[in-house]
Amino acid sequence: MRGRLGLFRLSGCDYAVPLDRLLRVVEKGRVDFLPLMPPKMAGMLIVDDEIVPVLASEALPGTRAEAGSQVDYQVLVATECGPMALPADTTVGIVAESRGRWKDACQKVRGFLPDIFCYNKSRFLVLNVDDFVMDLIRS
Amino acid sequence: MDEISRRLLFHIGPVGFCVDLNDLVEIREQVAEQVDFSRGDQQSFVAGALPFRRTMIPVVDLTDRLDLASEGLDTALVLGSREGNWALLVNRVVGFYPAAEMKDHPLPQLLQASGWRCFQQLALFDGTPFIRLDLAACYAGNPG
Repeated sequence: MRGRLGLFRLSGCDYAVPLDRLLRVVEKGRVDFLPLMPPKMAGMLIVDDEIVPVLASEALPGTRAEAGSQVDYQVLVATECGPMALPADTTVGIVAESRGRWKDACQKVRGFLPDIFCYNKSRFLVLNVDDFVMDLIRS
Repeated sequence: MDEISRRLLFHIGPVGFCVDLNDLVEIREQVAEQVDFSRGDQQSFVAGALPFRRTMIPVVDLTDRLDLASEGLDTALVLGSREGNWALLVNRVVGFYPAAEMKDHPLPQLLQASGWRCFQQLALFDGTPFIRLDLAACYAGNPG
């Protein structure tokens, strides 16, 4: 049982994060550049006087987002390494997992659950936040 | 006035940086014509030499190592170190501000790159991040 999920879209792909990891959604946040960043990061966002690393759009699997592309939203999630912002074009909302169904993913994607959440005719890749972040750090 | 409690904010390219005021010896503007780039030393990342108080001091240009544009570096921050004075080329000085008005943060793990690093901390000032330069990593008088 995973409870509720926060759903968002980026460049035609659908993603979900468990609600217990969702901190907040920031609209049109200013992303500041930092030299020597790891290649999968886009910069940093300042939220409530805290520094939040921002994931590059192209680092999410399946997107057709190009490097440096602008997004309207940042979805902030809690990770073992502190908060992290995920890029999003739109937010879909928060849904109880009982409102959708789980389907075995044909292809395992590193950092994501092996099942896809199907809701309202869309298929959401569900982020396994800690695995995803560990992959980022190792890479 | 207690100099330790103030910091100099400046920009290299689009990026904001800060150093403690007690590391600063002098600010020289319009230095592009004065730097002797033939005296550069790639191994120690010294771009050239600048005449300063009847001697020549090493000039460090961080843009290559930080992957930033190198246009418009016309201001030199003359900084003190154990090895003597050296100069850091920057684009623009923002000003001097009390350190108490800044909030320091360690660099988040997700933003840490492997390899050479000249900063481990960021300072937030008025909602804007400034990199706290580790001056010893930028110029130690020997290859970095």
